[in-house]
Amino acid sequence: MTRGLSPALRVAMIAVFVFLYAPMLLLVIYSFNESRLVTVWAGFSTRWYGELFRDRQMMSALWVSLRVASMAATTAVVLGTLAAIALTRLGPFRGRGAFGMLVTAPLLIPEVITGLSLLLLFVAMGQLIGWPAERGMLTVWIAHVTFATAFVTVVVAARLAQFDRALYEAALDLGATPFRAFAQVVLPVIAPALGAGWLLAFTLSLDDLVIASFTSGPGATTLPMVVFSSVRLGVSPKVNALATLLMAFVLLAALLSWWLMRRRASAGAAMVSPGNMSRR
Amino acid sequence: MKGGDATRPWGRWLVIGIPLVWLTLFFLLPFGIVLKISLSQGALAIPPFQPWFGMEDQWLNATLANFRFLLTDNLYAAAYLNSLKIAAVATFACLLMGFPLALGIARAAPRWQAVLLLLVIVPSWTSFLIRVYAWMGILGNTGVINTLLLWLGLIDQPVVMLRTDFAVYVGIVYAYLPFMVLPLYATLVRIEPALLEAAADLGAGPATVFLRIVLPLAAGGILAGCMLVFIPAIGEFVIPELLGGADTLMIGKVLWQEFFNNRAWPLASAVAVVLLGLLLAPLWLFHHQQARSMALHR
Amino acid sequence: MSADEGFLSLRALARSFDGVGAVAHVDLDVARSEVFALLGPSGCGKSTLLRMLAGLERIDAGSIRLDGEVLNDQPAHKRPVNMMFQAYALFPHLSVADNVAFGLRQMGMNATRIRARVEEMLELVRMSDHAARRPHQLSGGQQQRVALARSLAREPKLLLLDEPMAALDRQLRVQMQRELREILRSIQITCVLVTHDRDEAMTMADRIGLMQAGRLVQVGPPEEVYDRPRTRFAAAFLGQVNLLEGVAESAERIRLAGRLLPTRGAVPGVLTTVAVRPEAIELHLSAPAHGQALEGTVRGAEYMGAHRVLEVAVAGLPQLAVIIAGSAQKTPPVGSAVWLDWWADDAVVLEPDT
Ligand SMILES: Nc1ncnc2c1ncn2[C@@H]1O[C@H](COP(=O)(O)OP(=O)(O)OP(=O)(O)O)[C@@H](O)[C@H]1O
Ligand SMILES: [Mg+2]
Repeated sequence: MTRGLSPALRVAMIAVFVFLYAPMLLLVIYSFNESRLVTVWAGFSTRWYGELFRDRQMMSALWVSLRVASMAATTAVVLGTLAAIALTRLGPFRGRGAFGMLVTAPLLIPEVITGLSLLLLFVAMGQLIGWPAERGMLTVWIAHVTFATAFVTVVVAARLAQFDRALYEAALDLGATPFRAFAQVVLPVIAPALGAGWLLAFTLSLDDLVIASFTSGPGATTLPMVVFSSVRLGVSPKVNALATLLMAFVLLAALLSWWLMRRRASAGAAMVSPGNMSRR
Repeated sequence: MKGGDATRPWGRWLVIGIPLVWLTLFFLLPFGIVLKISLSQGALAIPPFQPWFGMEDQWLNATLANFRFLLTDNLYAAAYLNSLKIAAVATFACLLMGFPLALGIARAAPRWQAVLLLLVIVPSWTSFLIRVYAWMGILGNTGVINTLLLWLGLIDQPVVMLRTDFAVYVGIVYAYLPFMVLPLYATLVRIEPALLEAAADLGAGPATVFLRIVLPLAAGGILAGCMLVFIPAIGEFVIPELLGGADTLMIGKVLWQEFFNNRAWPLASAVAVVLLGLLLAPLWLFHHQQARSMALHR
Repeated sequence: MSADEGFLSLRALARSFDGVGAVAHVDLDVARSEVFALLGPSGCGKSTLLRMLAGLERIDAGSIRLDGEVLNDQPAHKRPVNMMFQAYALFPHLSVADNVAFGLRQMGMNATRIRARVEEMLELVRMSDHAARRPHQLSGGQQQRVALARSLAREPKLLLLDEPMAALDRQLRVQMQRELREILRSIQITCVLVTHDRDEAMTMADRIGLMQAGRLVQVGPPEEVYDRPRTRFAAAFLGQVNLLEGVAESAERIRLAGRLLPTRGAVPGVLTTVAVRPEAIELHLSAPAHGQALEGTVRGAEYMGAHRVLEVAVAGLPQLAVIIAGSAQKTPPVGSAVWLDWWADDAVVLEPDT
């Protein structure tokens, strides 16, 4: 549906984009404010960045979060890719509809429910079989894999659905085993989607507060848990600095994906598919 | 990969089986446990409920007391209803803001569309928690808006916005807007321009074209977008906790408090079970719509 | 000119995109009840011209007048003009009957009259049995009929058809061309249709307007445009043709390969191009008595069922195509010598291309 944009539509679009970006821009500005108060500009300063890096608790929480997120993302890509293949490429099988619902349900179930139910499971398992003995990074990892898999599945399935079967069949025809055909023909083609899925799962895990609060234990405090407890009571300049660093990182990633998009239209489509957004 | 897997059924079963086992164990089974615990009695122990393993008469211990309690204390009913109301109003506000944006992107020159979409998505790549937090500095009594209005002399006392329902609406719309825009865009961009021209050719003015052609053809995207906002918004915790007031009742917050503050695990489980029950209808609606649009665009 | 002749009249109509003229200075009159075909190669501006008539494309300069009324500033939804779109543009969310009723509803017609009119239109295109179907449940030919019914329902003063057959396969196309022509004649509607298929233009239209690069290069009845093309482009676009260049000796004689062949209206002493259709060439197996036939050698023969196309090489001229009717026995074998000539009326003197 391409037609000219009416002036009213242009104005509405600009207004919505301002709404989307102004709050983030303000955070960046605050982060360089010498004053602790948002409304007083006491001069440019990088003081809060220094305090952020000196904050032992935040730095160790960041380390925990990064480790959990990379492990969870990697596992979720494996599970999500398998699920995506099952949904798009295996043809009909009994219970496929139910399987599809099971795989994608975590996308929409409120996190408080997912978090609570996983915690109760871990407690019950602990009582019953003595594993996991206590909650910590392991349980957060399991929890994050469980909900991130759904997002990875959506991204990879979207790409697989466009994949030209003839390529795979040609590989079989040329004597490749199904496994080799997958590894040498399908995998390279869907690699951008796998990369996008991994990044998405990584940011989801890095960003999760609710599920981690339920499932983590002593010694496994994640970054969002620390951030949450410090902003609960009000604005915190250190968090502004953290937010700015995060945004700079995301901006780089966005520029990179824009650049990739211009180079490869198909990879770009995968990058901006609806599944490719982190909610939390 | 139909052909190849017919000869190697074990490969096929591994592909299905691995995610299936994981999700059954860590997603489906936990719901059963939640249901079970919602039927057990609270206790001052660790964990804080009466044990139900290793006892012959465990089902005799089952009690509907938690659910009865949800009914007797008006707090819970009010929290459920208020969550529905807040989610519904915020969803509608999202639709009002998201539709023009999606329409604008769908009508932009093709080479701009990807860039504009990226602009919509990029905020959601940054932390959800931090984006919600950003509004604390904007809406507060000494926040950006109040400071600006005071300075302009439009008000002589700060308008209380933070820790109100209004702030919760702003937060939900802000955080969930991309989820509205993307499915709307996906349906709007598929509407052929020739259909709009044909309608104009047959005598329909711009308003009629919009109401009779654009809206009906975008119905699937509208439904999908609304469900993607409405369903998670009902159970939202972070937004009412950071932006809402003490009197902003939302069920996600209630569940959190029952669990962490009151250590009432069985009651929290009962809250979760009822919430899940409430969500079944919209969840079904969403899946139904997805299946339909998949079938249409095969 | 009577009112009927200039029922639709375009004057100096122009539209350009980014400085490039898609439609450049078009003058055209179409009579009431006439079926007029705009014919031309891809990208020559046919659709743009049609969309300007429908009000879907802005007019940069010139005027459109229909039945005495200037349409220039009327928006599409107010014009007494309806169009059948290239891929039909049937509304996917509405049934066949609702598609046909759509335009009537915009007129504020009451429900009973709408129902009657829809009935009548579906009857006309023989689709009454499918009124409740959705467009995607119909075949290509059926969709086309619904689109036709929808654009005729409002009784437009002018019907526009953009490549009406483009979405159909070959066999269906021939059948639908006949059917569509019958319907258009039976309701006596004024119609402008766009096509890049010359057979379609010739079977359907009363007159053809040949377009090239945004301009109308020749307008006339199909036979006239086919038999008396004005330019090389016109000659070649309407069918296979031999374009031969030589100096005119007199108004009636042109020198080709050292012989004097007949033509009409040439300017003596000027280098002239004549167009000769392959079927207009007469083929002789021995030299004719007048001694001015072209002498050549058969280089190949293509069997097309009812007729054959021979390729004949003549020294000093491009290879000629000659169509002959008849059986294999009468066909000269490859390598044999043949003589070619034609009647003066069949060698049309061309203007230089613009
Ligand atoms: N909206 C537009 N913007 C820019 N250029 C356009 C636009 N519409 C048409 N053109 C250009 O105008 C010229 C005429 O286009 P038009 O669609 O009228 O051709 P056509 O004769 O209908 O061709 P076809 O047989 O392929 O349909 C083309 O060169 C085309 O690229
Ligand atoms: Mg065209």
